[in-house]
Amino acid sequence: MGASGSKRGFEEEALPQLDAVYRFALRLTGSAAEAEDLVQETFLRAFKAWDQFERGTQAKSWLFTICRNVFLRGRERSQRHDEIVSETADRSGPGPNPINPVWVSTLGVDPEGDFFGSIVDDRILEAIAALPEEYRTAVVLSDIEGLPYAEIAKLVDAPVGTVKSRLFRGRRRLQEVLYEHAVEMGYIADSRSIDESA
Amino acid sequence: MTLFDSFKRLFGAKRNGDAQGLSCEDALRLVHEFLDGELADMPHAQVESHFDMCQRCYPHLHLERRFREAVQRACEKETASPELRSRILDLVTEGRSEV
Repeated sequence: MGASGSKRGFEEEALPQLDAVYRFALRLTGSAAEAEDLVQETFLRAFKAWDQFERGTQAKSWLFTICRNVFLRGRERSQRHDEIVSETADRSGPGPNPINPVWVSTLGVDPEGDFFGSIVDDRILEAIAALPEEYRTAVVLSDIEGLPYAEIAKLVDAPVGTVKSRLFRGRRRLQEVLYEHAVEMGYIADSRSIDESA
Repeated sequence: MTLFDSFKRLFGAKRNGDAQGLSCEDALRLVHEFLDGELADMPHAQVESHFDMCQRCYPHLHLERRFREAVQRACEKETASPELRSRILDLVTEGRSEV
């Protein structure tokens, strides 16, 4: 196969993932300008290495892997210590309590979580951006891009159990932040104040 | 009221082995895997039946669904700009002409 032949399929398999890679880059960087640079670098590297792409696997996951690696390498130069998630916490499993504290807080006022539908998109994006990178990546790849646990585990080079733990903690943290915001905005009554006044 | 008190009030001090042979505690423990289509040790239909039949667990499932819908809604509108798309296409075209 010639050099140009080795790039065959790039347009058909990689380019349709542009929006998904851009969304992922946005969540990683938090800025449109940085996301555009990251996406450009991702596709440049992917194009150069296209002959190494294993046909039959998901191009989307492969592009996400490159995107995240480029992002993390750049971040190493300006590491945000407050974002480091303890691997001890990761290994401690999804937590002993299956009862969602947000759900408990909404009992009697909105136990089915309809208040989430009232929260504006920008506030949700801010809350996602505030998650530690490991949690944010897991939540974005699962809840937005629909990747299976095994694909995410491969992508972040961690066991499936760690991915599940990060998803659990990331979702809980995000829900708590959004719930507090909904209470502040009056989208949902604060059940604690209802209890106290009873 | 502590979280533990809430738990006791909702589910009783002992585990509820009820709908479809699955306790509420176990069903709630599996809620993420269920919604993600990733149940490993339990048939999807069995967990689904529990949530369908259990009035206490159903709102919990619904809350998780509403949360995911909100997250997806917030992110799905974001797409690459035409300028970025054009830059990527140029990059591919230039790359091809170089090989």
